[in-house]
Amino acid sequence: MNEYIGIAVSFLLAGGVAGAMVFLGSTLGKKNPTPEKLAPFECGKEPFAIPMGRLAIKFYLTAILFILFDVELVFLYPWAVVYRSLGFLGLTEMGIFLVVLMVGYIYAWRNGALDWN
Amino acid sequence: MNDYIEALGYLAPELALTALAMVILVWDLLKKGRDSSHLGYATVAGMAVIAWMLLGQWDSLGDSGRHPETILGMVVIDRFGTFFKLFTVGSLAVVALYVLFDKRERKHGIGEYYFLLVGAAIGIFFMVSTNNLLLLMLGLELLSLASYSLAGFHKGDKRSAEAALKYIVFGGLSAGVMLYGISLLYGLTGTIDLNAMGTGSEGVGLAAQFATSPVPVAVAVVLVLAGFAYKVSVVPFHFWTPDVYQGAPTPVTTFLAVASKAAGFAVLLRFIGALFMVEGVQETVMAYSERIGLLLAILAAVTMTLGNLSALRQTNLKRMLAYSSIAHAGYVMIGLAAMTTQGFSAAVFYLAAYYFMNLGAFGFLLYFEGAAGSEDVASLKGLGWRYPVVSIAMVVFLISLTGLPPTVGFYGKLVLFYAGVDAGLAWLVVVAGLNSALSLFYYFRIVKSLFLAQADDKSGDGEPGLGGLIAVLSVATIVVGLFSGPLQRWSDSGTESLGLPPLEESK
Repeated sequence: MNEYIGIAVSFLLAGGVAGAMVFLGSTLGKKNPTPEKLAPFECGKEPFAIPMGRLAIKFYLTAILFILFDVELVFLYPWAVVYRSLGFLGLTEMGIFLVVLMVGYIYAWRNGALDWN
Repeated sequence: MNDYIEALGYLAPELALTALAMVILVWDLLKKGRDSSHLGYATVAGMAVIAWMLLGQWDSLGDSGRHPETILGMVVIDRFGTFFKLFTVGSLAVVALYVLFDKRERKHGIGEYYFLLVGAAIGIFFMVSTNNLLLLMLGLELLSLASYSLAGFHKGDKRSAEAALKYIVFGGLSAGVMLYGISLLYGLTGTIDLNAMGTGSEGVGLAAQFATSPVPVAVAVVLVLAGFAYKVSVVPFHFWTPDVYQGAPTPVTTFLAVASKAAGFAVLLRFIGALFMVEGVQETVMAYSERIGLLLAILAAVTMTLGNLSALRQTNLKRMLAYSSIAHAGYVMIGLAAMTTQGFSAAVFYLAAYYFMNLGAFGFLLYFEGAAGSEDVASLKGLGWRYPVVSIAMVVFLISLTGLPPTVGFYGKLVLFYAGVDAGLAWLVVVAGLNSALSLFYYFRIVKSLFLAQADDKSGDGEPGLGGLIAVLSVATIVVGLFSGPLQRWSDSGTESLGLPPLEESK
């Protein structure tokens, strides 16, 4: 355990120094708030939109579908490499895998997940 | 290749379940008509077929109750797993019937409902029959993901959405904690196989690690236990339970309270058994079993007390049953804390007993929601006279939940307490006894409301089929309580198949 004490000490030091700075700054510093100082700062302009912006929910759905099928695709690459040595067994296995995948695809399709409007 | 196909033969129940899930999903898509009751019947029929397969598997296992080889290097076929698979299949069939009988469900397009339930069952099937931490985690996650979506199935309902969100946040966190524990265990022992961890001596296994660095091992084991504690809602990982149970659709709550909880306990039993108690475990590891037992005993005492005390104050029946299920998790923990074969068998038996009474109690809740349109205990008043069969059935379930004779709950508590005293946990048994007395107060508040008050003529009609199912469950609660021999033998034989030291015949 002893070799880890250095890490603990550096954690304590980092936390202590940072904490002390925040604490001293907030207690010793002068406070003289004016409305201008309290206003949000954005290069002198009034903020006019939520910084993150708003996205249509259909992007979200498409992104999720993309991730799903993209991850499944990862399994096809190794198969392509060892296709010959796996032979018929591998073909059946991947067939079953693709059928299961296809069911999910049809499900998404039938429920209108691919419909942009 | 022939080996491969032979191995798949042992996985027939799992494969059948997967095929059923696919058929349900595709069938629902093809019909697109909004009546999906045929899918419910298909689910129940599928469960019957799978139960038959599992019974065949149970019989085909020899005296050891265990298939000598690990199928495909990951799946263990033993009576312990088969017991819990049968348990899952049974509760899933009842839950599917509940969905069919749930009046409020008919407005939803609910093909996915059955699909998700069956998906959750696939997860349970794999997690209860493996010693491999990776497959265990995978099964657990499959169960969890299906449960999250089921909890939020009523999309427009605020409570249901809240339930799903709380469940997924808590679930994600605890899965992370557990995975961290598993990764530490793997890092320390160099294996993800539980048996190898417990029995390995030279270089691998817990024994070598306990000798040199016990603290990291303890941390890892506790982290993994935290993940299981969340699944079975043991204090201090129970916070999600009341909100999720209350917000989720009632059939889903039933599934979570019965099948999902039993599966969590099954994994917990296997985990602790394989690491600390199985024959062949190293002495150094075995020495720690007492400490683990003490930890579990303390958790058990806190869990049952907190569950019962909180249930006392509830006015909402669904929430009350949620706290009661926390308290019952505490009772089951007595069997675990005993750290004996007898204790484990008692825990398994109690889970089976819990199956009858809790399915029934939640069925009553569903019936009553349909009839009275509310979940408050206060609005039950006088309904006992209006729906006598269902209400008397509920009284039977409540007697059983309290642990009074002649029900299965009484016998279950008896074997648990017996195992606890035998293992030197008399103090814990006293706490549990006091808790049972405490639980009498809130359980009988329901009875009082049902029979000792005037009805105010607002309720509609109940569902006759559902009433019949509840009556059957209540009869089973009594019959299994009076003739508990077969169930007792099943849970003994299931527990022994874990490889624990055999029970003495004289018990």
